[in-house]
Formats: sequence, structure tokens, C-alpha cells
Amino acid sequence: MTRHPFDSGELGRSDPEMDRVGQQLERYSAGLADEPPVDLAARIQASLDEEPTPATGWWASLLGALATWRGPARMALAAAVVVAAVVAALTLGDLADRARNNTGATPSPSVTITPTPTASPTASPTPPPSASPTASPSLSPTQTPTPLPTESDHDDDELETPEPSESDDDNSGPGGGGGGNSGPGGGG
Amino acid sequence: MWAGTWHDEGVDDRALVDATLAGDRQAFGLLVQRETRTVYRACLRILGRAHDAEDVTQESFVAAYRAIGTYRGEGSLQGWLLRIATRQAFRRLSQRRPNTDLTAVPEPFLADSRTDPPGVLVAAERRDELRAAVQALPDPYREIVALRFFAELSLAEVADVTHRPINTVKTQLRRGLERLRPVLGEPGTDR
Repeated sequence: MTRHPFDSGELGRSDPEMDRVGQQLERYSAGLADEPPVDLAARIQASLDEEPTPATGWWASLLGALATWRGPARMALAAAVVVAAVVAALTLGDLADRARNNTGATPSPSVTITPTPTASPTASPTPPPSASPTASPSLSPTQTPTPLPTESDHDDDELETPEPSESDDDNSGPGGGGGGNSGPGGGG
Repeated sequence: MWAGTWHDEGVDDRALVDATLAGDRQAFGLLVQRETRTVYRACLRILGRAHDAEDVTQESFVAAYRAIGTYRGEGSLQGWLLRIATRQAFRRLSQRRPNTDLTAVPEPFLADSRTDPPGVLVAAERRDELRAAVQALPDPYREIVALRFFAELSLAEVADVTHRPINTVKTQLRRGLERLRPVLGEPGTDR
């Protein structure tokens, strides 16, 4: 008969009604205890012969999940996995791009100083190091130094984009970011 | 091709899994030989039709083979396989219309049917009702009831393969049986 006969006591307390339900289920199962066809195991093994060696790790989990889904649901799951992979790649590319922009923005104070040498030759060539912070607002109020302290970060970005195009060091940052964007796009 | 060195009935589950992952197909072949009957019976009890049970048994072994890398050794390999099979069987059951199928009636009832044809129809309908009632249970009650009664696992084995505390399994089984009580627990329903 059944391998583990049911007793409602195994659930913590005896209950005749529960026993009755369990006996119904056991009786049903006992009535459907047929032997499988003799060739079923051989058929199973034949179908397994066509399978590649099973995977391990997270890949096995994914394949296992795919294996239990069938038909349109399986296609939808596979499509969702592909979309998720593409989104993940694009997100990583975007994050990498932002990281490059951020690292390019940190030297922006040093970039803002770069105009000061341009102003210093015109104003006073002799004291170049000391004149850089103080002289720039006084020398040319209408020029670039005045917006720099008052502008927000967005405007800093706007200023940064043309400025790096002038110097080689900063050109590599955003320019490389553009290349970073093209990378995942090409990969996708 | 599948016959070979794996013929010991007492071979360790973990060794079978490791050998399968290493590419030894004979190891999984032993599992097929060992568990086909158990898996088939569990599927037959859920599905009620022999040919469906054969199909789902085969699909379950293929699914288990593909996913065997996810087996962590928590519980027996048989229980892990039976859990896959019960899920596959319920999925198959949900894809077809319920109807009465005489092929689902076991031999003793078919023998009775020669003298009492209406009786076998009533018995078949009763079995359909039972299957439908179990199928209609929400998860996790359906899975717990199926593993306990159709796959014939003990409560401890059910707890192992479902990764749930045994007290949780007890509670879920009790609630599942309580939900079945209106259909199965009436005194006149014993057959």
C-alpha cells in the first residue's frame, strides 16, 4: 500500500474528519498504482541521449526554468531574458558613460582655472600664480569667470563640453564616453 | 549506451549528480531506471490518464536532467524529481478540459464494470472530482497535498524538497485537507 500511511496525528492533533479526507486520497492513490509501460524507461533514456551535458550554476537555473515552461510561455520567458540582457548591457554602458562624465567633471575646477592663464597674459604677465583667483573677476567681469561661480552644475556641464574639446586631457573623458555608448549599442 | 557501471541500488544521490554533471550519462540512466515507476505513478494520480502520465514522466526526466546542476542535496534526489514531476503534471492538467475518461479507471474497477457499467462511470466521475478538487487547491496547498499523497512522500521528505520548515508543511497540509473536506470528507463519499 502507501509508503507513509496518513494519520492526522502527524499534523499535531487527531481529527477524524481529516483522517477521512486522507483515507480518500490514499484510496485514490492506491487505485492508481499501475506499473509504467515496460519501454518507458528506454524511451526516456533515448530522449535524454539527445540532450547535451547539463549545465551548472546560474546557467543551470535559467535552463531549468526554461525547460519547465512550454509553448508561448517559454517563448515569452526567453524573450524576457533577452530583453533583460539588452537592458542590462545598455544600463551598464550608461553607467560607465556617467562614471566617465563624473570623473571628467571633477577636474572641472581645474578646467575653470584654465581661462585664468588666458586672461593673465593680457592683464598682468608678471604675477601669474597669485592673480589667478582674485584677478579674474576684477579684470573681465563680462567674460567667462563671472558665470562660473554662480552657474549651476548643468551649466558647468555645458561649459565643460566645449572646453575639453580644446584640451587633449579632458577630451579623452567625454569623447571616450561617446565611445562607451557605442560599445553596448554595437553589442546589442 | 546507458548500460554500464552504474547498477548499485544503494548509490549515493550526490555521486549520481556529480557523475551526471561530469558527463556520465549512465549515472542519470540509473536514476531513470530507479525512479521511473515512482514518477509515473505520481503523474498518473494527478493526470488520471496513462498516456499523459507517460508523456509527463518523460518530460520530467528531461527537465530534471537539464536542471540537475541546481540540485543542492537538500532532500533526496527522488523527492526533487517528484517535485518537478508534480509541477509538470499540474501544468499539463491545467492545459486540458476536464472530462471523464474510462482509461483512467484502474483494472479492479474495470473488472467490476463488466457487471456494473454505471458503477464504473460513477467511480470515474468520483476520481475526476477528487483530481479536480486537488487541482483547484491554491498553492502551496496543492503541491503539499500532491507530494504527500500522490508522490507518497513523508512530511519530512516534503519539507526537505520544498525547503520549508516541517511545521510549515504540517500547517499547509492541514489547511489543504480542510479545503478538500467539503468534497472528500463527507461520510457518503467513501468508495
